[in-house]
Amino acid sequence: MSTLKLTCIIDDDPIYVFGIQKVMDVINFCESTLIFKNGRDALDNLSSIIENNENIPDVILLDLNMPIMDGWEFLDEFIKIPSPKKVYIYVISSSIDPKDVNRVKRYQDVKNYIIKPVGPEQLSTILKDFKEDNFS
Amino acid sequence: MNIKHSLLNIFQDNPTCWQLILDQALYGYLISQKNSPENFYINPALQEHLKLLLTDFKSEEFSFEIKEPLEKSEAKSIKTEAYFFLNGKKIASKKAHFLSFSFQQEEFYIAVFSSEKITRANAYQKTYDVGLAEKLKISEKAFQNNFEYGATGMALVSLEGKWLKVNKRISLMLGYTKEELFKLTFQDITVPEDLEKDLSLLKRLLDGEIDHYQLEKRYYHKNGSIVYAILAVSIVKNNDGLNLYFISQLIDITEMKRAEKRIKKLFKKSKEQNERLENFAHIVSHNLRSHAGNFSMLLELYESQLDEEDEIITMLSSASSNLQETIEHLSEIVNMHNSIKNTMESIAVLPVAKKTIENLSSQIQQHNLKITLAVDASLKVKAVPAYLESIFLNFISNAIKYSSPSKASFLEVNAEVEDAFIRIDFKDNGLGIDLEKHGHKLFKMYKTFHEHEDARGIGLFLTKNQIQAMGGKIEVESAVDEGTTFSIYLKKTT
Repeated sequence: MSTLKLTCIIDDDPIYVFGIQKVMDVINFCESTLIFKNGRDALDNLSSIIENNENIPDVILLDLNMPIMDGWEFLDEFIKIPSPKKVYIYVISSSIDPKDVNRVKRYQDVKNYIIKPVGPEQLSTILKDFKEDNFS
Repeated sequence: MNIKHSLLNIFQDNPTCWQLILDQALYGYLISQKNSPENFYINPALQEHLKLLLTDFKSEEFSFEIKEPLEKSEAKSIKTEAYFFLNGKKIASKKAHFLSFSFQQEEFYIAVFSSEKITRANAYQKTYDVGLAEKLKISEKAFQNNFEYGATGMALVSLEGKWLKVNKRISLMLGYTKEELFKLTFQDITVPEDLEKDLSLLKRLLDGEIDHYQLEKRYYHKNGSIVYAILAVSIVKNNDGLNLYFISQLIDITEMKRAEKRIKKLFKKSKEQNERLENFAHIVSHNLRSHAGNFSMLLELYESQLDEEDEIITMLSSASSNLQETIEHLSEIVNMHNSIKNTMESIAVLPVAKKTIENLSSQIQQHNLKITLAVDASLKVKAVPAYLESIFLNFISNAIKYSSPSKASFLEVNAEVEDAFIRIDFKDNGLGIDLEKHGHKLFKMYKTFHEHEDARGIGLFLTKNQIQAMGGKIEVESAVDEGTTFSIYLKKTT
């Protein structure tokens, strides 16, 4: 049985989104997913969800390089929104640039930085972290 | 006491009195030994007068003659003429009162040059004019030669800008004959954009605000091309302070300008290329990675859903992981040079060497490789910790990988200070590399020289890049079947 109810994927790459969802199915990662193509799209919707205390995602998988509003801008805005529930944010990017890696470390709200491609092992680790924090 | 009658005694007892009188006398005095005329004294007034005729007065070269020889110790003085010579050349003749006298059995003359009023004061004025004219004549000639054949362009230019006198160099520089130039003003051949700054400086010169100026400006050559020059201008005034004309000096810097332009162009080009390369690096490290990542993810997914092994999918997976690895290496190289500065620290060499050997101990034992470590514990290098570890790992695992199975293998690791660097040698007696054949591609990416299953041709390439990124260098010596010595130089720290 899955332990996550809702996962939010913010990424502009449809192949990645398709793939990660498949992997999620395979390891039974979560019950449902919420997909946004860029930071702006995600921020608008998530802020209204949080405001109305609707179904807030447990985990956000955030890409960095996206059109309109990139991952950094999204992070800066999102962490300002007070949420009744702790949301686990993972930055998931292809960039292995040390500048990006170090920059992510400065965000306390970001659980970890995961370099693409993401497979079952990485998702399992996320799941394990979440379980340890919430059910032990 | 009657001083007048005692003068002789006074002077005899006080020779400095005489000295004062002669030194300060307005008339010229000359005292000379009759038989050896080169032995003479002339007082400052006469000296000054004669000196002013000459540019460089030295008594050794100076001599004189008397027109009428004097009789021995005459009671009265006679008026006659003295001829002055310099290096045997007559430079002056002067009338004087001569008196002959004897002193300690030697005959002397004394001459007083009063008749032509060679007083110190008027002698100065008179001979100054003569001397100056003389000097001017000499310097004018020197100036003429210098002017005409000098390496700089020189010109006299009227207050209105007309060329009054120009030298050969200017003709050469600007392509006009002298006659053509005389019909032009400098304004006519100045590149219009450069005229204003020249004219404004010229005006300040005319107004007496400045006494000279220098600027870089452009002229049009007769053939229409542009001549770059450094121009220096000063002004000549007459005794009343009225402006007469300008003296202009021109240095042609066209060649220098062209070279500078070429260098600037080259610099711009390499800057652009570098930017393209950085852009390329970004494409590699991000865009290519994400596509390759998608491939790998989808293949893995697909493979996991297969009931039995599919050969083509297996090969696709293998190709995909090779692609990933290649991109990994490329990005590593790119990032190496970008992120190096902040991560360098002072690291002791010995612990890193020991740790690497420890990590590889099972392989070392397996290949029976004997490692000797001669590294002083005090030696420290400026390095990125991960790179230094990777460098040691690479060389030691290379020594293991390419050890010779037919003999007792060893690896010697020595470190010593060499100037501002620490040189670390890795000397083995392994298979060796044919440097004549492979030397040029030894450190290139994906080059391998032995048929070894683990040889991927990335180790030395990465190592060299890491060493260079840390400001060091690498050297190699090798002979087939004898062994290889890699020497790396890393910056020494304390």
